[in-house]
Amino acid sequence: MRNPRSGHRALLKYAVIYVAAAAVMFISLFPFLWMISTSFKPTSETFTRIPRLIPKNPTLDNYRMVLGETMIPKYFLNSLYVAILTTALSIIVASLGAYGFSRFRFPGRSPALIMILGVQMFPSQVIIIPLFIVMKNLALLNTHKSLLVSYTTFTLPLTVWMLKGFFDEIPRELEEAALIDGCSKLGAFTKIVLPLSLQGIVASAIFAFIGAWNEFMFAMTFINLEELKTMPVGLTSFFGRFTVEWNPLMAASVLFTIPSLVFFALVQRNLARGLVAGAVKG
Amino acid sequence: MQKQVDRLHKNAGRAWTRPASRSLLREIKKNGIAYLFILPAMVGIFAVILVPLVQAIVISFKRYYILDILREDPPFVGLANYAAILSDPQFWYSLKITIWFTFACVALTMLFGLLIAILLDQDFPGNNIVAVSVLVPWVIPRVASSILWKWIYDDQFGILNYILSKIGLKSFASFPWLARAGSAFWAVIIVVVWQSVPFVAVSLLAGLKTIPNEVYEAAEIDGAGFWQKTTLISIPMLRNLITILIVMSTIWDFKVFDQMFVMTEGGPAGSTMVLGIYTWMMAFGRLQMGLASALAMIMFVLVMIVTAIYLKLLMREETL
Amino acid sequence: MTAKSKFSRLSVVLGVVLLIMTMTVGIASGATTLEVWMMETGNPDGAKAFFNAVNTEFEAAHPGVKVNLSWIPWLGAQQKFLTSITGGIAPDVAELGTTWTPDYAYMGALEDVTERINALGYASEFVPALVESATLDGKLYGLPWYAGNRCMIYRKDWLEEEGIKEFPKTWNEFIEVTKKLTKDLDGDGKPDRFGFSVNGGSQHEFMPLIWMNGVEIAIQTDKGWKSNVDSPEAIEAIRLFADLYLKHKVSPEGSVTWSVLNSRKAFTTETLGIVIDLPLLVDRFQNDNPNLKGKIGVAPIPAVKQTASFTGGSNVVMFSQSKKKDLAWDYMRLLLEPKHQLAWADLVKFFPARTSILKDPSIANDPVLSVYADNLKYGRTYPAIHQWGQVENTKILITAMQEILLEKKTVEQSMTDLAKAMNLLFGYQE
Repeated sequence: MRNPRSGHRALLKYAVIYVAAAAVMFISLFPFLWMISTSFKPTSETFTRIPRLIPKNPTLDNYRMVLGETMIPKYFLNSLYVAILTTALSIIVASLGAYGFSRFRFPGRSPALIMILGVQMFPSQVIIIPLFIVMKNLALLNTHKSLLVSYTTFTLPLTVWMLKGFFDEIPRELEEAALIDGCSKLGAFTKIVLPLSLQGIVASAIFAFIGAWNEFMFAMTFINLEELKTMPVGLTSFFGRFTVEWNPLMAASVLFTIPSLVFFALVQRNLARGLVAGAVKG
Repeated sequence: MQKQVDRLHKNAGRAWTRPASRSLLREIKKNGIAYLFILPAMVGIFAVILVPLVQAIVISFKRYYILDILREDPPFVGLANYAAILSDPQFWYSLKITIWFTFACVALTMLFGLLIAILLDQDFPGNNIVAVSVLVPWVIPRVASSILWKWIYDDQFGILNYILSKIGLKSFASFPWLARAGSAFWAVIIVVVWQSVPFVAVSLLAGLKTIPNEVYEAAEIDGAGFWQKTTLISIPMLRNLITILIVMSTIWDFKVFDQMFVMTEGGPAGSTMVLGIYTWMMAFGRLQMGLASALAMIMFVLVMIVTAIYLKLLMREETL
Repeated sequence: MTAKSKFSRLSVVLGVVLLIMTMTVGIASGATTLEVWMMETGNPDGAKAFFNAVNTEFEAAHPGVKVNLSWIPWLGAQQKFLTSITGGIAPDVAELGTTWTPDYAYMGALEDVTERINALGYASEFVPALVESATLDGKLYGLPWYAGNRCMIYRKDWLEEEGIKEFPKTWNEFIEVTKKLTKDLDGDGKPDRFGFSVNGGSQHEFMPLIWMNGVEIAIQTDKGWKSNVDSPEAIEAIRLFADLYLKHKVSPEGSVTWSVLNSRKAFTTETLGIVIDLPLLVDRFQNDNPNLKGKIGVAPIPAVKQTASFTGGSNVVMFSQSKKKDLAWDYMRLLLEPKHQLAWADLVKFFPARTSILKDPSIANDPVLSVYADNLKYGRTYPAIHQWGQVENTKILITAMQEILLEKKTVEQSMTDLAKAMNLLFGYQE
């Protein structure tokens, strides 16, 4: 049985929740919608004193221009290629590493772990010249491998720590049982541990993908060849020497956003728990 | 996390004391499989981060003017670069605004992150839609969102000024957000916070979900309202998570570069010249890699100190 | 299962991972390639077509040689050149902006081409500002390629509405015109159409006023280069410019951080009456907004004591690291052939570095280009010293102007501070 007072309070609570939810949604979504809206507008509707969210005469010209008259499609595919490979590679390397740190006690373990955590604090703009020389000595300049290697490495600090948190939570007894059944260490790892840490792997995958998809400075420094450039560098060349072209710029930005949007949509379910399951209990 | 680190120290201590009685070779052989597991990660970190890092440290002790290096090997100058940086008024100005910037970004990110997490933790129809919408700013690539906001802030045709003047704030018609010292600073903060909140909110939400409902119900019986429940239950129970998020956000925001670079390039009149931009200017504007490396080392040390302070605070409160 | 087989299976997996991580060296092809870097242009398709033709011609004349052309975006170009030079992988030939040439020449990265240029037979024809920019200590480190100067581009129809028949010739008349063009059209008490934009974010508009007031930006003394921006004439010149914003209020509020990118947009959208810009913009404005057809005029920049305009452009350079210097020179020389000079000038709407080609009817009879070409003789360039790159990169010129426009400092204070900052970079001590 409810008394009327608590009914009022529930109503008030819902009112507060929905007002807050509306504000949060507006601030989160509106800029993105504005980007989409601008990308479908002709110039005449963009530089006007009375802007509209829904274009009066929507046009695909901006997309046609971006897709047909620029290198953006090529940059886009390059970014996709680098980001997917980075994600795959960093999941493999990080899960192996995290498993090593989680299950074994060996000399040098603690310094190695602290070092991994420490390297992500360093401002990356300063190691760029030395790193450039390293890449040159490995003959990796002007290859996507230079990006693959550096992106994978720069995601490791976070992914190793995150996955280690997950692996730590999986009872060792499960693997020991498997080992007794004649499974190898690697087998125990791939058959028992990995499937149980799927959420952590998903979260690490997001970080690796977003990191690689976003990265600007290394891509700008290591890649000269037009046909190898990635999206963030390509997009800045749109800033142009001659004038600001907001409409095609927004169209290219929308295209740039789609893959990470799709990626998030696919893994969204696992995201929330995956991100912090390790850290919360830490 | 501190517990983990402590455990690490203990384990490491144990592991290191043992080889005294056995041979090191045997130790390595015994742990061979462990080393193999971590090998790829360590090789990558060594080649891509540590080697260049050591080179950068060496460079910070040299007079490394890029236009001179083809002619002569950069000479060692001891601590001269560090002395020059510490006596440079621009450094102190940049340090000051970087600290303010970081403080404002972290505080606002944590505040809004927590509020949104609490909102999403409530049970209400449509919760899912809000939860997904919140992620959108995180999804947009940094370069793209900086360009997008630059367009939103446009003084003549930007949507922000239009909305503000529509709701009665006439003085914001054609307000040049990125052309005034104070507003440019806050304009970038808004963009950084906008992009950082989703991660914090989602992380905190995951944390909130681990607090059993019974705890809140018990508090409600005792007459606790929303404010008491948040400050007396949610925040204390999530203290570890909050600390980690603060440390991570501090590190990220202290190094801010992309958004500042695309939106203001340190301007107007140098008013948003944070350390990240100043370091870049020193390296690729003044071409003084020695000074730039010294600046980066100072930034590095500052970040380490902040991190250490946070961890120390956390540890003390736990032992009390 | 034995420990050994576990071990080896793991090794195989790790081996594959390491292989992916370190797969490195691509096999170099047998043909000789000439690495060429060109700066991106506003007309990428046209530029590509032009270079396809040039490269085909070059490859036909040099069997077995392949030209490998890369387009370098202006943003981040400096970093790209520097890292490549220090990394020892500079290209053979590159286009360099005029203000960068002294940097790399000082660095020793560029080949001295004085003798090769003198042997060309047309060395005396080059646009003076370009030669100045490519010269360090009396030696030439770049082959002048094309020049771009700035004039005033204005709305003829708006001037006519105000009864002004001819574009002003002096700065004081110019101020009056900008005041007349600035209008509050929608009656909200704030102007929404402006006469001019001070573009606090780019220096090529305000720095020339120092030349126009009869003094130099920096002067050579026996103790090295010394900034002259704190001289009374320079301060007066900068004040004249800043007053357009501060006193006469003919420039939009946001123009403190505007660059030419913004003033071009404002001109296109018909909210700005006059801009100082390059010749190619006249066509672009009319293309982007057909309503502007026939309404645009061009004129020399009104004089303070005299007129002057920043003349930039590009040199083609050869890097000293190149192992194919003769090939590189052949390529550079090819770009200077009259037909390629004219085709490129037409494409990017700049001017050929060879003044004899300026007499070509395609330039001399063009109502827009002829005005610009006539004014090339008033073209000036910044001091050709290696520290100038740093002056631009560190944005101290822009910062000084923005401090004035934001009224953080007086003109005197700001210019005195700027002179100090410049002298610090020049290594000049009193």
